[in-house]
Amino acid sequence: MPQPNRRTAPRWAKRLLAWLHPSETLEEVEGDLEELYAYWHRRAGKTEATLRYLLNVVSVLPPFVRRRPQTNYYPQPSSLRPDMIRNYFKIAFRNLLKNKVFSLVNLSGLVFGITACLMILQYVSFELSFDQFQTDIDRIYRVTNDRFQQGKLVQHGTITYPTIGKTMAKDYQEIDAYTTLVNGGTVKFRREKSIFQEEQIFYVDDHFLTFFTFPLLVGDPQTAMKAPNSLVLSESNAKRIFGAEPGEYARLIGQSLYVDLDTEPFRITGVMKDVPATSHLRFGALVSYETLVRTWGPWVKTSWDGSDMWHYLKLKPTADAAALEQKFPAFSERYFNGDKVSGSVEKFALQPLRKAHLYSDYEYEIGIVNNGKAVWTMLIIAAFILLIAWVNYINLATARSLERAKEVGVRKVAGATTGQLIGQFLSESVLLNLFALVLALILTVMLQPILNEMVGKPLSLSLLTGQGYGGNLMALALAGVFALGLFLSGFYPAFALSAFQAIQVLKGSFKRSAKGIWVRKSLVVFQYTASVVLIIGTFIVFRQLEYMRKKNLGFNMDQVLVVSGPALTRWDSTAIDRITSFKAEVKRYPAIQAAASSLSLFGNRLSRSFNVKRVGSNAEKGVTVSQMGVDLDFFDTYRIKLLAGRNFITTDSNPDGRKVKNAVINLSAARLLGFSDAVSAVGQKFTIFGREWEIVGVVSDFHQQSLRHPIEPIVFQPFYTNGGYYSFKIASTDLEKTIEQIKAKYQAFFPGNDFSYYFMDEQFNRQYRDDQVFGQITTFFSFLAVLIASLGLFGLSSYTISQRSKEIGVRKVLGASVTSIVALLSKDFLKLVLIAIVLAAPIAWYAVSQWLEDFAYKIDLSWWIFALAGVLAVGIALITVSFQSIKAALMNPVKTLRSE
Amino acid sequence: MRRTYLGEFEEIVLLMVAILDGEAYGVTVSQEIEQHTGRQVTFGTVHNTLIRLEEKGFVNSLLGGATAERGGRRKRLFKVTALGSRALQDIQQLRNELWQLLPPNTLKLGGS
Repeated sequence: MPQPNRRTAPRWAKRLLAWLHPSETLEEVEGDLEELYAYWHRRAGKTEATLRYLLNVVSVLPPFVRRRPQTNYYPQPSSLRPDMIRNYFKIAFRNLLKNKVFSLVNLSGLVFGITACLMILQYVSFELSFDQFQTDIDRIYRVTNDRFQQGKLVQHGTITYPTIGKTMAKDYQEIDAYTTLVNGGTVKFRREKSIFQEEQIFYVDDHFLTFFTFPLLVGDPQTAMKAPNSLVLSESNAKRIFGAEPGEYARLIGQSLYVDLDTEPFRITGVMKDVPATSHLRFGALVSYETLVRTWGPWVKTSWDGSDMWHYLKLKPTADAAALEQKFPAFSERYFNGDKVSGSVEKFALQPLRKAHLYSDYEYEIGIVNNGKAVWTMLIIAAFILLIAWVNYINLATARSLERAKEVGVRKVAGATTGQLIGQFLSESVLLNLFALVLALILTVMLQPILNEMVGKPLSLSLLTGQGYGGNLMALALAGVFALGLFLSGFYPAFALSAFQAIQVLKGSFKRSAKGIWVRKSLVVFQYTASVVLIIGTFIVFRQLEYMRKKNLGFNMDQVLVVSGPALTRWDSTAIDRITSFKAEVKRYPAIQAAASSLSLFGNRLSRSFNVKRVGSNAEKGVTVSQMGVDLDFFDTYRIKLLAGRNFITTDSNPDGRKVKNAVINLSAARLLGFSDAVSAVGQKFTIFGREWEIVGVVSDFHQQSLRHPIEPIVFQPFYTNGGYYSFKIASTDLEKTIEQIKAKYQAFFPGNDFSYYFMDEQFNRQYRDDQVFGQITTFFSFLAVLIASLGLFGLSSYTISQRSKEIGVRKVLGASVTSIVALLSKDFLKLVLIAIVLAAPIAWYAVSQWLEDFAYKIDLSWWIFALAGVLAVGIALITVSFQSIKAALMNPVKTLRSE
Repeated sequence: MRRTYLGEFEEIVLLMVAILDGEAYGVTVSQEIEQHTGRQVTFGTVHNTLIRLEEKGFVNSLLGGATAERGGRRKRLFKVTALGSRALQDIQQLRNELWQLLPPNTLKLGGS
C-alpha cells in the first residue's frame, strides 16, 4: 500500500471529531472512521471518501451519537471517602507513635508556643484596651503642663492650675466640655463607729459624670456632684459599707457617711458601677469638688499659681486638637505673662486620652500608667514565639519526611495524585496543629491564675474574644492568624513530601536533593537569631533590675518596717509629744534599733515648691525643689549621711507649723541654690513663697524614687503629722513577735486606728514591678524560644546525620576518629548559629538601648553580654547537635555499610 | 416468556456480529451490512446500535487489536452474549412457527 498516511481524512474534521465526540468512545470511533476512510478512498477516490467521512463524522457527533454508559475501569475514589479518611488517620496516628520522642517535641513546641502567645496576647490586649469603654475617647484630651525656669524644664506634669480647664473652655469654642478633678488620695470611711478600709477617692466637678462614661446605677449624673459634701460610691463599696443588695441602692441616697477625720457628714448622692479594670482613672468613690472649697480654701477655684488639678477637655467632633494646641502659647502669655504669675513659664499641651495609659511619661500622674514600649515588645515577642513554633513544626515535619518517602511512593503507584497527597499531608498538619491549639487553650486556662498572679492583672481569655482590644475584630484577626499559620506551616512539608518521585523512592536510589536543605537552614538561622536576641534582652533586663536593686541608693532600707500613721487621730498641741513618746516606747524593745516618723517616704513622689530663692543671692529667678517632712530620727534610721551642719533637734519642731523655720537640705538642693559645697550652705537662708528658712544641715543625695528618675533636690522640714509613716529599723529575726509588740503599742497610743504595715524595701522595689514582670516574661519566653529552636536544630541534625550514615561509615573504616567525625558533623550547624549571632547582635543592641532609654540610671551595654549570649547559643546548639553526632560517630560502620 | 424487543436494524446488526464471529467491530459490521443488504448506513447508526445492544445485554465488548491502519487506535470488538443468541434463536423460531401456520399459496398470490 502506497503511503498510508496520505490516505487520511482532513485534519480539521478529525479535530472536530476529537473535540465533540464523547471521550469514552473517542478512540475506537476515530480508529473505525480512519479505517473506513481508507476503505472508501480505495473504492471511490479521495473526494467521495472525504465527503462520506464528513457525513459519518457528523453522524457520531452530538446530538446524534449515543453515549456509552460510563464504566470505570480505573475507579478514582474521592479522597473524602470514609475508607480513605480512616486510612489517613491511621497512617497519621502510626507515624506519631512510631517516633514518640519526635512527635512529642514537635507537639510540645507548638503547644508551648501557642500557649505563650495566647498569654502574652491577653496581656497586650488588656493594656491596649485601656479607656476604650469611654464613648467619647477620641474627643477627650488631658491638659498637660510643662514648666520652665531659666529655659530649663523643671516639671513635666499632668497637674496644673485650677483655673485652666474653665478658662480654656471659655476662650476656645472648639471645646465642647471640660472636667476638673483632684486626687483625694486614699481615705477611710466611717459609719456608725465602723471604719472601712482605705479607698481611693477623687474630688470631681459636676461635669465629671456626664463627661466620662462612668454610669450611675442610682442618682442623677447632672446634679450628683453639685453640692458640697456630695459623695458617689462605687457599687462594691455600697455593698461593703451598707450591705446593700443590687435592688436597694436607691435607699442609700441621702444617707450620710464620714470621711477620715472630717466632722461634717457626706451625703450620698449616687451609686455608680465599679470602675472597669481598664480605666486609667481608678477610684472607689467620688466627692464633689465644692467640698474642697471648704477644706482647702477658695483658691481651688481661682488660683493661678497653686496647682494640684487635672483637667480633661472634650473637643467638638470637628475640632482639630493640633490646631488648638497652636493657640496655647498665646493663652500662656495672656494669663501667665511669662513667669510673672506662677514663677515659671507655662507651656500647655493636649494629651489624647488614648495615650494616657501607655504613652504617658509625665510626673504627678493621676492614672495608672504602663510602658507602651514594653507592651509592644511583648507583642513582638509573642509573634516571634508563634513564628518560631511554626517554623519548628515545618522543620521537624520536613526532616521526618524521608521516613515517609516510601509511603508516598506506594500511594503514588496506587494512583494517588499530587493534589490528593498534598491534601493528605496538609490535613494531617492542620489536625496536629488544631490538636496543639486545643491543648494550648486548656493549658492557658489552667495557668491563668498563675499568670494573673504574676502580672497582677485580671486577665482572661475573654480579652481575646471580644472583651479586649478591638472587640470582636480581635477575635476574628486572631482566628485568621491561627488559620493562616496552620495552613502555612502545613504547606511546605506537604509540598516537599508530595513531590517525591515514586520510581526513585521505590527503586531505593532515592537521595535527598540539596534544594530543600537551604530552606530548613535559613529557618534554623531565623530561629536562632530570634533566640539570641531574646537571650541578650533577658540578660540586659536582668542586669538592669539587678543594678537597680543593688545600686547604692544613698540610704539603707534593709529591715525597715513601715507603719502607716494614725490618720484617724486628731491633731492637737500634744500630738508631737505623743508621737515622740510612742517612738520612745517602741524603741525600748531590744529588737528595734531606730524609729522615725515622716510625712512621706521613699518611692512617693514629693510635692514641689517653685520659686525658691536663696536669701542674699542676686539671682532674680527662683528654683524648684521638692519637700519632705521628716523628724529628727529619720536620717539615722535610714543611714543617710550628714555632710555638714547638724541634724534636727527637738526644738526645731513645733505643733504650730507656722513656727517651724529650720530646714535640712540635700546636696543637690544646696548646689541648685548656688552653694559651692555643703559646708558653705549651713547657716544660710532661703525663701519658699516668701517665707524664710534657715539651713541647719546638709545631707548627702539619695534616690528618693526609682532609678527611672534622677536625683531630686530636696528640702527637709521638721514637720509631724498623724497621717504619715513610722519607720522602725529592726534587728530581730523574730519579725512576727516584733510586729506584734509594735502593734500593741500602736493601739495603746492611737486607739481606733488600723494597724497596717509593710517593709520599706519591698515597697520601694514595687516601683520596679512592671519591669520585673517584663523581666520574668522575657526570661520565660527566651527560655521557650531557645527550647523550641533547639528542638528544631535537633530535628535537622538528626535528619542530616542519618543521611550521612554511609559517609560516616566509610570514614570510620578508613580510620577517622570519633572526635573528628563529631567535629565534622557539628561544624555545619555551628556555622548556622554563628550567622544567627551576627544577625542578632545589632537587632538586640537596638532593642535594649530603646528599653534602657527610660532609665535615668542604667547599666552600660558592654560587649561581653553579647559575647556571653553568643557563647550560650553556641553551647546549646553544640549540646543539641552532639546528641546525634556522637551517636552517629560511635555507630559500628559494619551496620551502616552492610545495608547496601 | 418475556422477550426483549429487538428492532429490525438491531436484529440485522446483532446477526452481523454473530456472523463475523469475533471479528465484529464498527467497520466490519457496517461494511457487511452494506455488502449484504445494499443499504447505505451511516457509521453513527451502527455505532449507536452497537451501544444500545450492549446496554440491552445482547453483546459485550472489549478493546483490542490496534493496527497501523487505524493510527494505532484500538478497536472495540463485539461478541454475542448468551442472551443475544437466545434472542436471535427466539426470533428465528417464532418466524418458523409463523411460517408453518401460513396457508399454502397465500404468499404466491399476493407476493409475486
